[in-house]
Order: sequence, then C-alpha cells, then structure tokens
Amino acid sequence: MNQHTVKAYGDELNQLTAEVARMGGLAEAQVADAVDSVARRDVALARAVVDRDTKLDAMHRDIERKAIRLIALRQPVASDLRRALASMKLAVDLERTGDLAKNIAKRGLILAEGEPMPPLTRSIERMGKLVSMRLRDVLDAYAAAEIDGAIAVWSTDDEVDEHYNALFRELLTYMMGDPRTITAGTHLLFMAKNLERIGDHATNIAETIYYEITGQEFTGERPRWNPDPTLEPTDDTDPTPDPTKPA
Amino acid sequence: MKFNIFRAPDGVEGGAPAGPPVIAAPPVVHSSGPVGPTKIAARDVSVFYNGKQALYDVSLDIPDKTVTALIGPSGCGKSTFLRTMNRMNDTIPGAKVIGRIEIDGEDINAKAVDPVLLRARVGMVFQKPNPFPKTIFENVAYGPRIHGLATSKSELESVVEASLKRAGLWEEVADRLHSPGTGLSGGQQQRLVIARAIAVEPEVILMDEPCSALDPIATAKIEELIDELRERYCIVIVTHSMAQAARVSQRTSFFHLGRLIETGDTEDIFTNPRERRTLDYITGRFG
Repeated sequence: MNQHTVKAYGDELNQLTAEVARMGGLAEAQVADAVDSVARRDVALARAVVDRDTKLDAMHRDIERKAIRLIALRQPVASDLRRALASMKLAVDLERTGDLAKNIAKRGLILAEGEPMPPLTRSIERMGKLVSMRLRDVLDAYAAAEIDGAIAVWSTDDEVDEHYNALFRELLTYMMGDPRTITAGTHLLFMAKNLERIGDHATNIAETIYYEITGQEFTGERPRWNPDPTLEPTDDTDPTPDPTKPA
Repeated sequence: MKFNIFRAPDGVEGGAPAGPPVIAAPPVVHSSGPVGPTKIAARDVSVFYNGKQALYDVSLDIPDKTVTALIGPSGCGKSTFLRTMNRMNDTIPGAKVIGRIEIDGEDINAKAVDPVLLRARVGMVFQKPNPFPKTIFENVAYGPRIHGLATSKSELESVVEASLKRAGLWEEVADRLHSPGTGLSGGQQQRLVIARAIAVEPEVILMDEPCSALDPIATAKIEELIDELRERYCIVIVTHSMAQAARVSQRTSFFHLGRLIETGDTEDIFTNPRERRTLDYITGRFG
C-alpha cells in the first residue's frame, strides 16, 4: 500500500498497530507464565504475573488514548478507520486476557500452599499450552495482517472447549473420590474456565482482524462443542457440561 | 516480531488488486441499496480541449432525487464531466464533446435542444458566488421573467419568495429584498445563487465546489440546504472536500486522470472502496 501523503499520519497508524502487537506479546507471556507458575508451583513467577498486570492496563489506556486522538485529528476513513477501531477492540480483549491470566496466577499462589496434585496441574498445563498457542497464532496473524491465520484460529475454538470439558470431568472425578481435594479442585476448575475464556478472546481477536482487513464481518458458523450430540446445538457459548446428565 | 507496516487489503477477496493500475479497466460500479430512477445517463462521454483529451469514455447513470458527489484530484476530469451535463463546455473555444448524454432519455446534445433552455432545466452553482449586480429580488426574479414563468407581478413575487424560502435565505433578506445582492455575506450570496437557480424550476442542479469559498458555518448551511433540495431535484456536486462528499451525497463517483474509476453508494466508497486508487485517494495516500 502507498504511503500517506501526510507522513506523520501513516507513522501514527503504524505506531498504533505496533503497540497493540507489543501489548499482545505481553498478554501472551502473562498467560504462558501464569500456567507455568501453576505447573511448577513457582510462587515468584506467579507474583511477577500479578504485578505485571498493571502494565497491560496502562498499555490498554495508552492505545485507547492514541486511537481516539488519531480519529479526532486525522479523521481516518475506510481501511485506516478500521485499523484504528481494531486497535481499540484488540486492546480490550488483551486487557481482559491479562486479567484472566492474573487470576490464574493468584489461584496458583493458593495452590502452592497445599499438597501438589501433579496429574491435575498437568492437564491445566496442557490446556494452557493450547490456549497460549492460539493466542500467539492470532497475534502473529495480526502483526502480519494475515487473514488465513486469523480464520484458522477462529475455526478451531472447539478444541479449547473439548479440553475444558475433559478437565471438568477429570476434576469432578477427583473431587468425588476425595473430598479433601475440593478446594484445590475448585481453584483448578476456575483456572480451566479462565483459559477457556482466554480462548474466546483469541476468537474475538480473529474476528476483529478479519473485519480490519476485509471490511466485512466474519459470517461463518463457528464450530461449537456440543455436550450431547443427540441434542441440537444451542446458542449457549458456555461449554460447561451439565453434571446432572450422564456423559 | 516481524511487522507489516502497510496493512492493505491486497489479495483479499473483494479487496483492491495489487500491482500497477490497469488504466483501461472499466469503472467499478456497485450499489448496496435502491437509488432513484436514472435522471441523467452518460454514455462513452469524452471531452477534448484543443485536441487534448481531458475525459475518457465516461459512462455513468445519475439517479434522480439523490445527491451524487464527483471526487478526485485536480485535473481528474470531474468538473469537465459536470460541465457536459448542461453543455457549459459549448462556451469554451476549442472544446469538443463526444458521446451521448441523456436527461430523461432525451439527448441533450441534439440539434433541436436550445442550450439556454437546457441550462434552465439544469441549473448550476459555482465555486465563487456570482450574484448579478442587481437587487436580491431581481437576482431571483431574472430567470422566471426571461423564461416567462410568471405572468403577473404578484406571481413573480410569490416565485421569488418561494425560491428564497427553499434556499433557506428568506428570513435573512425578507426586509431588504431591494438591496444589492452583492452586499450579502459569501454564504448568503451562495444561497442567493441557489435561489436564483431553483426559481426557474430546474430538474437538475449542478454544483461545482459550492462551499470552497465559505466558512464552516456557511458551509454547514449550504450542506443542510443540499440535503433539503435532494427531495425535489437531482443534484450533482463536485467537491475537493471528501468529508463534504461523505456528508452530503448518497452516491459517489471517483475520477482519476480523466477516467471514471469507481462509482457506488457513498457509504461503501468511504468504508470499503473496491478499487485501490479510490482507497489511496480517500485515505490520503495519493502520490
């Protein structure tokens, strides 16, 4: 694409995109570190994740301020306008992602005080790796303005849901077998839920990238995990299975 | 992280094609909603000034009761095209127009068409307000009088009043109808000229950068007026202000180097143009 005649305008847009990519890098690291701190019972790392969250909040505010300034002073249209708006939307998703990572790290701090539960934390680690990977892929797609990468992430959200469901059953079995694991199991369950939510934010980001690049809304039918294949899929985005029903 | 600084819609379905522009490609025409019936139909219109071609094979349907904006960089042919619609190019020595322009299916370049009568049907407003050096009343009454549109003094007065009201000027000048038109402010003069144009009951109003000599408030008044006039007339406006084209028009046509590049609903042109050159122009990337 040609450069803007007013060079500073183009620079400002590029700077906005660069900052979102930078914020994405930090959010990605927060998720990976939070999951790592749980798996390794690393208290120092968990604390670092909690402390770093304020940085993401500051970046979010900064991106929003810059985007508003650009809209007010440059009056962007078409692809430039979508780019400015996408940066604001992405900053919101990334800020929420950071909050969820922080919550995982905080629960990790509590878990670290109790007995280790290696099989369960390993399942969280696996799910965490999957979610981190999706986040990384979608942010790469953003940085490269690569639409196929965004669609790939968008269309595989059901993998996260399946993981979440498997973890849910696993935790339920543990907690029923040994009520002393209920406290830890509940924390792990919330962690799994947080990871599932982070997966949803990655999907949102993919949709925003699609819109930014094409100017069209993504209209495909997203694959959804269905708790009971004999039932019609519902609009319920919460993949939590109903524990009163047999699997 | 590797970084693509130009996030272009290249290679995306529906996006602009990459590579050098194909100059001879037909214009992209799109519409997402219904527009009025065609008022003006231009077919393969080319204009030459002393043998030098300024406009190349422009074909465009202009809908009635709609504001159509013609945008493009200086020298792109948008004003030249505008002037073909009421044969203003006839007045320029060495100008030659080929192709066909129909208004309501009638060829305006036919021998039987009197350009003076044509210009009553197709009024024009210019960049600089050009009131006659006469009173406000006489400025508006001039057209109806020479075209015999009013048979009595009272009829003429009511035509003048109705025109000034429609042009949103009546309340400001009702008590000084017999002062000189040139004593009004720039914005008022421009509305006076519009009142003069609509006094002869035109069907089409052509505007060539009607606000470029006005301040933002006078501009807003003219834009509000254009929006009101749209209910009765087919309006074609040439403007250098893309924000103005976005504000006042329902259809936008983009010209470049004497060719029509893209035409479509204003909303589409300013949110998601199909042609790369349109995108470059509206986003300020031309060069």
